[in-house]
Amino acid sequence: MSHFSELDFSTLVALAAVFCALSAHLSVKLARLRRRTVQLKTANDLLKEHYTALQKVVDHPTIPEKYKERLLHFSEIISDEKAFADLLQQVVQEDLYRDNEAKGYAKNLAQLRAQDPDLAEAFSSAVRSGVAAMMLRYPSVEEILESTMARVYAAPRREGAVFAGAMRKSRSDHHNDHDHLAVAPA
Amino acid sequence: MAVLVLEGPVSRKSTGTGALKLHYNSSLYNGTKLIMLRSFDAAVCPVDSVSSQVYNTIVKYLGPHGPDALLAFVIFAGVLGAIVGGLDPYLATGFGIAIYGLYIFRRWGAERHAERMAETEIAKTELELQRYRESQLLKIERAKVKALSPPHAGKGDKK
Repeated sequence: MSHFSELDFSTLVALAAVFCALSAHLSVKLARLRRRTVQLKTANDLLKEHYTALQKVVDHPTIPEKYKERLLHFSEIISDEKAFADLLQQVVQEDLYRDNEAKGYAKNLAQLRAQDPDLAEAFSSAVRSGVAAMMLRYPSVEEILESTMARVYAAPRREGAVFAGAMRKSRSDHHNDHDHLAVAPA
Repeated sequence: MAVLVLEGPVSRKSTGTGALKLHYNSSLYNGTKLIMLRSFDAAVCPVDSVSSQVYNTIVKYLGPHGPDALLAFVIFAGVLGAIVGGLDPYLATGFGIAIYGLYIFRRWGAERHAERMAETEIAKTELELQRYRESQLLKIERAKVKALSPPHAGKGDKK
């Protein structure tokens, strides 16, 4: 008891403040680490979903080659961090879902759904799960996510917009070698 | 300890006393029985104790920093108590900081490890996906080249 009465109150407050600050700082860092781990685990699950759906589409015996190729290129584009960040910016800023490519995507998906609903679902799932996985995978897109990406999935047609953006990027990357793969507008 | 072999749909509920209440539904028997399980079974299906329920409630209430904040509070209270009890303030504070530091160090290691493991897992999936994608794209390109090349290409000019 004697020690406590001898202790300067300001020293005690200073010690408490230092301890609180240290604990808050470390606690925030730990929470960030935990959050990142959860994000990565979820991203991995979604990526596996994307992979399974991609395999289902690509290995399907009756699917046209152009669908296969476009989906593989889409997967390639979203797997590149910088390209994916650019793509998201583009989707958010431009009305890509009014683009012919996006309209073509919707039309082709509807046609595919009429022929084989399971296959169409796999195609759509590959696009959705791929985008969602990469949103969590890359920390650099976090800012875009927080501010505006909620809009992407609020409007269902944005799925086509992401696809259209990726196709546009794929074409520019391959120096217009794939012009013949462009989807005919509706 | 009684060992009961159950066949059929079973659901379990914690009774809060360490035993399990099994709701057993079958065509022969329909009812609720309170049974004691072997320690092995109890270990496989751990039951939340009251203390862990209280701990979880507090941690949940404290939010995302729950465990750390709770420990910091406990240590802070302990340090104050030690000072009031007559321990040298600097020694008590140092001891508190040492305990908290040790905890943070261990947690940090565990969290870093978990993050690294998650990163490795996703990198593996990405690699697998990339290989698959590249092999499929290569197949498509080969098919295209084959389709574009003339039927007698590669045979050379006959003189």
